[in-house]
Amino acid sequence: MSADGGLDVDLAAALAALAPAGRVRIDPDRVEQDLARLVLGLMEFLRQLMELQAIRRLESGSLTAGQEEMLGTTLMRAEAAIHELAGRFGLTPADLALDLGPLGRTV
Amino acid sequence: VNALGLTTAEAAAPAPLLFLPANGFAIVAADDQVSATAQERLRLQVLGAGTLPSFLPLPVRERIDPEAARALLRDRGAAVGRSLARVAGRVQVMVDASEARGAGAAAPAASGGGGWLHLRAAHEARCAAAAAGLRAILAQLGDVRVIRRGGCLQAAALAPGGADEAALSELAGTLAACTDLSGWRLSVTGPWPAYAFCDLADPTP
Repeated sequence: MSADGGLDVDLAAALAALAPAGRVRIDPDRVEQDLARLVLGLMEFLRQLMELQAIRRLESGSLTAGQEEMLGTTLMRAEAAIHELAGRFGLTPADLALDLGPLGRTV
Repeated sequence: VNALGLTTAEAAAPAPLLFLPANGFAIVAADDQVSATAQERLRLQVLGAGTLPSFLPLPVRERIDPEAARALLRDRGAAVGRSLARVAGRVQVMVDASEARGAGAAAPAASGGGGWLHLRAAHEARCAAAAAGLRAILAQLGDVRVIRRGGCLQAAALAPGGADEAALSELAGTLAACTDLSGWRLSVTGPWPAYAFCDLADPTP
């Protein structure tokens, strides 16, 4: 049993593996959209990690006003760019959440 | 035949559920004619969770061959047994929480990068407080999992099996009175099979 009260990792993976097609799917009829979803999902995941790190630094008081502005602007524009690219492939921000099975979802 | 879940060997599944003994446990299954779609499988899993003394639901999105479930029971029998003991007599209650318009992500956009970062930090703080409030209240029912979906929170509690409409309404009232959750739209649903307690996903905010 895991520390947080969940199932054993191995069992969780085994249960999820019973339906492997429920994970990331690459459909031959819409390869471009599925690949875009995968790549943009990873990009958004990394951007959110950077945003959380920036918030931690903000809350700890280790950022100057200039650094706050620069980091915030970079992250804000990165988010807008990722959402714009997603829109070109007919994807919404919610579509960028990737299912990692027993590890949960990325976004 | 599609496998829907796992249960103990002593259980007896009501029709149209099928009961397939395997490796000291049992696979709860249904004929493909009544379980071809995810919606049908969900309905049958709800039936299983509501009527069997212990029910571990399998992933609902895909048809699962009972042979795959048999192999799982053969390889992971001990872990399945522990999990069945954990969910015995319990069902999953879900609470979805999203910030009301104007309170969070839907608030007016910041003018610059610094303001944007401060808005996001404030949103993170509200999410953390709301998650703590959900955990504190739902922990009174049983085990709790809280996950983040974008700007929303989704909490699951392993509640006693008798959780009915009145219990859900009472829970909704308790949540609505929680100050950490003021400004959040809350939706309480259940009882469900213990999906959230069948994987390790718990990216707690």
